[in-house]
Amino acid sequence: MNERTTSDEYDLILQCLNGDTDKFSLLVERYKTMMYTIAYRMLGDQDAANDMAQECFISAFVGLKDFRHGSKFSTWLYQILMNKCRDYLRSGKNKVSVDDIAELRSDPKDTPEESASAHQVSDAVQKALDGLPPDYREVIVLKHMEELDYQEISQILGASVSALKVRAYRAREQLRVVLEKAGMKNG
Amino acid sequence: MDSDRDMLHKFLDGDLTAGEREAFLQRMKDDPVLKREHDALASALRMVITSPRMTAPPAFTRDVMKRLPQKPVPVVVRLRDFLLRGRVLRWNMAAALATAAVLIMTIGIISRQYAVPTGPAALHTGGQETAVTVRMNFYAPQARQVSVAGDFNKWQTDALPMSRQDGGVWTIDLTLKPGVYTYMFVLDGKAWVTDPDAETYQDDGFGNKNAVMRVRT
Repeated sequence: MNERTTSDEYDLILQCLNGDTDKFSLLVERYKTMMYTIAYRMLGDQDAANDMAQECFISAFVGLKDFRHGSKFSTWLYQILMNKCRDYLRSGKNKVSVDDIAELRSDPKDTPEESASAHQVSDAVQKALDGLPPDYREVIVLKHMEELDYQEISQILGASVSALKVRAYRAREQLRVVLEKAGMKNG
Repeated sequence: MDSDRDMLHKFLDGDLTAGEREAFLQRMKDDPVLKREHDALASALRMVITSPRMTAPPAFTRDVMKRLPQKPVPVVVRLRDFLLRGRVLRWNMAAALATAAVLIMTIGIISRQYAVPTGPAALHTGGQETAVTVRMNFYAPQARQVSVAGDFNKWQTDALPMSRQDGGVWTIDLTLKPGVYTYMFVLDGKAWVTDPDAETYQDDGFGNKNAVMRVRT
């Protein structure tokens, strides 16, 4: 959490602020995979993920003058992206597909014996994530996919560490149940 | 069992002490149900953890850069472009005479206004805002170093160090043009602290509050 923005990142930010906006593309290149993946895991839709990740960078660019030296740039990006994803989910543009979950559960090909190509596992995980409430999904994505500590997640999501731990506890239980019902097993 | 479950999740979060961890591992050896619970959760988490990262579309960076807001073009540049841009004018005699008449009348009105001296008021230039010196104070007796960072210095933490006064008060004089500024104090180069005596506060949109200062002439 206390890790600071690297000095070369801060140099890039200063150069952007001084009018050399092309330097911002270096920051986008550095973080695009991370932001796109998180957006996809949160929204379960490639087009929406592309839009939200792009919006995240545009908002970061606009708010660059408010970025505080000493903060961590990636944490700031996570905050912006999570707010965008929350707004998107609240807007109801996504559809939480109960059918998708049912399909996952009943697909005869998805047996434990066949388990499972990386692609299948990834799809199954995504469908299971889609079935979680958004606040559970956030914790699973940040804690177990991005491997952030609870302090940093607390800063990103604006929730206390203890509340996040309870959320992670319930999210993991729910995720396990869905994946088990889908016949997915690993290890 | 509830307590076992709590311990199980603490185990998965790496929150157990070495002793608790050892005791929990022993407990799992003795309790096959607990072990199964652990294995199921660990299996689900392994799937999550090993999910590959997605690849952003190839045009992602280009698209972002295209969508960035453009800096507004200064009025002077727009005026220069307007004046120097090549153009073809179509005209007829009636329109030219009407334009000439309007121009002559306008020049006449303006020259009559400026022909009369306006006395002392004519000396007032106005318009140009002059910078004002503002003193900031912050009480932090424990701090070894305090600086102020804000939108007036692009939030650099070390550009504006404050001076320690008697009684643990830190001060700095800033010369700023009239306007509204957001700022924070930075203690020992790392802790961001909002000014408790600020005029007002502004949410920065990311869960923190900046102090707001209005500089008046």
